[in-house]
Amino acid sequence: MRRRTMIHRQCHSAKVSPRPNVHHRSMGQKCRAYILVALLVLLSSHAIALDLPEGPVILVVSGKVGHTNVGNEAHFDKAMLEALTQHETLTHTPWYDGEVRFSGPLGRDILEAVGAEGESLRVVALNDYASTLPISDFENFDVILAMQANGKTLRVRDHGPLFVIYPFDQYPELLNEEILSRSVWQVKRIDIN
Amino acid sequence: MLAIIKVYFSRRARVATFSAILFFLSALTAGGVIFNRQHALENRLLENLLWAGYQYDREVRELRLILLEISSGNSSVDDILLRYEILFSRKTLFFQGDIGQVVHKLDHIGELIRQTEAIILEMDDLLVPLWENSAVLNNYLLTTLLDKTSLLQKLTGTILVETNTHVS
Repeated sequence: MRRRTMIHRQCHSAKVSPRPNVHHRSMGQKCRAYILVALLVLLSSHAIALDLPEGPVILVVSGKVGHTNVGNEAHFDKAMLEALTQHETLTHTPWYDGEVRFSGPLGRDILEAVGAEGESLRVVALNDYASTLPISDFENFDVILAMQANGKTLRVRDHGPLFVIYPFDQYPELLNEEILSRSVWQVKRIDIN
Repeated sequence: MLAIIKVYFSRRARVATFSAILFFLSALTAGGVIFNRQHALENRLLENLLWAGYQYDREVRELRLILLEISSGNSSVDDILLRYEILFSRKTLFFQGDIGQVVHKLDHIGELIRQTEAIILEMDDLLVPLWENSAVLNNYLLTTLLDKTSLLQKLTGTILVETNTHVS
């Protein structure tokens, strides 16, 4: 705000300057350049800024992330994750009876939100179980970090607060040991490598 | 031999016999393949059950350690509640999904798991006040919880042994 006022003042003083016209134009160009730079700074700072979590942090994303909010990490509370577009996946899994409607943000949306630049993810659970996923999984499939199952919030006792869910019914070939080991439940952290 | 068969059996009978033998062999092969796949699937499910049993036993031990550490100040009530919730989630796996179906078929293991569930639910009632007020945790409650995890550990150990025996 202070910066804007300063630029405005400079522009104003340029207009009333008694200096020759040539110099007058260059001052005008300078002002435009200042405004442009200020706008770029404003826009870029908006792009890299992540809101600070207000509630308990349920997900920490670290490693090669461009947008952070606590140190070099991106911390998310429940509201921040709910603010991302929620995706529904209706699928059978080996851990539940019958078809379950999972919902939560898409993995790739979370990566976009943190400005992730890597090739793989190390997803860590609350009990420190960890699995490595290629980022291509999030790009090729609608993998979600489920926060709800059949409309009910996933608590830790329900394998929440975040459960990596692949669209198994849509792509039956995903139902193999390798992908199942990547379906981490009780996710607490993602390290991007 | 072939000449004798040709004399005594018509072409139609020979074709029918050959077809019947071919069909029988095909059915036998298909049956064998299905049986093998079913067997492999059952083995995989049993291995999953064994793994779930191991994780269950491990989580009971983790909760027990946290309870023991709280008196020395190395853990907090939040740690207890988190470990308990993780343990609860491990218990749930035995009652639903693929593992739930396997347990349903194994009466003895199913009974042991139901006993552990009863203890975990008793602990749930004991832990409810801690969500509101961590100061509720006193020596009596801690001792009760430790006793229950001790009993639980014996049962999860037995589940592990029984499952191992069944798988092998």
